Amino acid sequence: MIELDNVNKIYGKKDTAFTALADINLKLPADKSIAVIGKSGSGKSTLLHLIGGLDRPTSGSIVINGQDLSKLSKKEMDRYRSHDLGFVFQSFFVEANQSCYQNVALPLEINRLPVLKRKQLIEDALVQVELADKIKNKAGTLSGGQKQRLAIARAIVTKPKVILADEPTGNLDSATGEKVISLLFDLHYKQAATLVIVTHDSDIAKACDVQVYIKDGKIEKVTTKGTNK
Amino acid sequence: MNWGDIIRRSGRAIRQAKIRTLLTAAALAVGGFTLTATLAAANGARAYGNKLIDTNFDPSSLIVAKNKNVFGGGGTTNKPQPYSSSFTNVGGKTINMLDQQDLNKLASFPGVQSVFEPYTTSVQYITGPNGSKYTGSVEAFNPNISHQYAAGGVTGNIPEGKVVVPADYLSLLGYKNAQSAIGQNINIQVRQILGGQADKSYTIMAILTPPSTLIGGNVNSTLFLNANDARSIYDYVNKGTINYNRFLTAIVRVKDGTNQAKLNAVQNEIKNAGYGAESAKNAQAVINQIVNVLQIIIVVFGLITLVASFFGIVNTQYISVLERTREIGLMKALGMSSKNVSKLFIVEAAWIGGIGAVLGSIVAIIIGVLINPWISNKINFSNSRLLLFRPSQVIGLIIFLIIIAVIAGLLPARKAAKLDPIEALRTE
Repeated sequence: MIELDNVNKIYGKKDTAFTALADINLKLPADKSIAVIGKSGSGKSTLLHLIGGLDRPTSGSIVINGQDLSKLSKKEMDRYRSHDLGFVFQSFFVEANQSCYQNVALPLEINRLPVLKRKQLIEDALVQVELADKIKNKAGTLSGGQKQRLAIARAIVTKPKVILADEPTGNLDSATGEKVISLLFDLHYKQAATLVIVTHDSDIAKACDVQVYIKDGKIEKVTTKGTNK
Repeated sequence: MNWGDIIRRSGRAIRQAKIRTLLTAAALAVGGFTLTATLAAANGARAYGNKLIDTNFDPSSLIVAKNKNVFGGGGTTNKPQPYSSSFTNVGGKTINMLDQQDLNKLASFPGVQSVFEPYTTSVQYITGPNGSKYTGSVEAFNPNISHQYAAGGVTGNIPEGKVVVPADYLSLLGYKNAQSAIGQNINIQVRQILGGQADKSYTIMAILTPPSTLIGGNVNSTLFLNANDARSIYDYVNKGTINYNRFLTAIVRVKDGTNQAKLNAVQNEIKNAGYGAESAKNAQAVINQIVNVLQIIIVVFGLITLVASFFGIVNTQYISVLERTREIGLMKALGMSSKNVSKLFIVEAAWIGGIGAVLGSIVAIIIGVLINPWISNKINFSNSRLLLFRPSQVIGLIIFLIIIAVIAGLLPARKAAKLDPIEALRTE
């Protein structure tokens, strides 16, 4: 369950103030797939950053699975991101010089998981994204789709409750993008995690359980699968 | 993140920027090399100084003179002095001499075991089988000084009529080699200051190894005789002069003199009685002081190169942070704490420091091992080594350089820790 209550986000001060999000009230169901749709500059990325604990709202409260983010200290926020969230980015952000194993190991290292317990988790995650045979390959040698799958493996290796994907197909051709999206849907369902996808692709949006349309920092409409058609 | 993961991840980052790391480390290695070599040279010089003292002085003895000027300490006696029967002039300095009464008095001090007079005398010339004449001096053999012999040897004291000869004389005077010279005769021509001349002959009992000392230049030209023989030459040469029955210095052996406290006590006692007295330790202290001053000078230069490499590391680490802005952003987004991000870059700097320090000291040690024999040969160090490496010092230095590198890495690491993940991830 993701609950946003009267959330405002204003950048800058006084004359230069810019309202990125205004009066956002949202209740998003747990374990479902949620699409956040909007043009660039609409505030959808800001919304994702707030849910992802990378930024804090100017006012209002954000409660994720019963946890009020505004009450978390910096340290607790780090812990929230490393334990409860999985991030997938538009430009993958995999380390080209490191092997697939090392890329996926990063969140586990951050979580201080003992070395001996890591191997199985990493192998499992790579199997799920069909990269098991590339475990020792440098991430730089992978294709775009493979890189994004590697990023997905890195996002799910900690078994997070929420997966946040920021334009995950933005840098991929449509065929590869479809594969990545179906993988994301598949994994969120298997792991019983909430999936939040920021996108401007209407096909992806339609495939999600809930669609949140954002325009100029405000919620334009919220639809659910079925009612939309 | 655990320390193990941090060390591995930063090590990986170092490997990915090999040339940059190596160049930065090389700058530090220059400082490390200088400091390692300096410390080693100072060790060598001190060890050499100690050896010098040990082969020339009995550690439990004091060298005593009538006045303190003999040891170069101030005084006014380099000015003309009113005549006194006990004064002589040595090297432009007017020196008060010891006489037999002084020797008796010194022997009577509590704590003094014996008083030894070396009767050092310059002879006219020394000749051997080939008849060539060479300068030299004779001195009484002091059984308390440990000599190193190339051939033959003396246990206890040397008997009358025998002589110990430095190896340098052998070929000059026509002896085949050290072994065959033993038992042969050597002639010493002495000339009385007031006229007479006498030729004395002694049997060679032992050959001294070439000097391991720089004192007296490259040739050690003192022959050692039995004290009675030395005395008779001394008396013969100086008969009728001011120096007759008077002596420049005497060696006072202290009971349990290896005990520094007892040695000091007797030294003070003798000094209080108006004499000048120096111990081997004092001489050592003088040598060590010179070494220390030289060492400090070079160490300062080494530290200056370290300052340069310090900024080199700061620069390199700033570049590393800039280059990896995205990676830092990702790690922070994935929940890595600012503290751990900072640690990652500090450890990276430590890696550079460690590589540079190890590189510098390895090069210093290799060069040291290679050139030590050459230096020893060139400056007549004989079997002493100029560069003496101590593992504890080398390890200490490496740790010191790592600490310097860590300090240099603090500022860039802080920059990395403060990066805003959203901003960092926006950079492409």
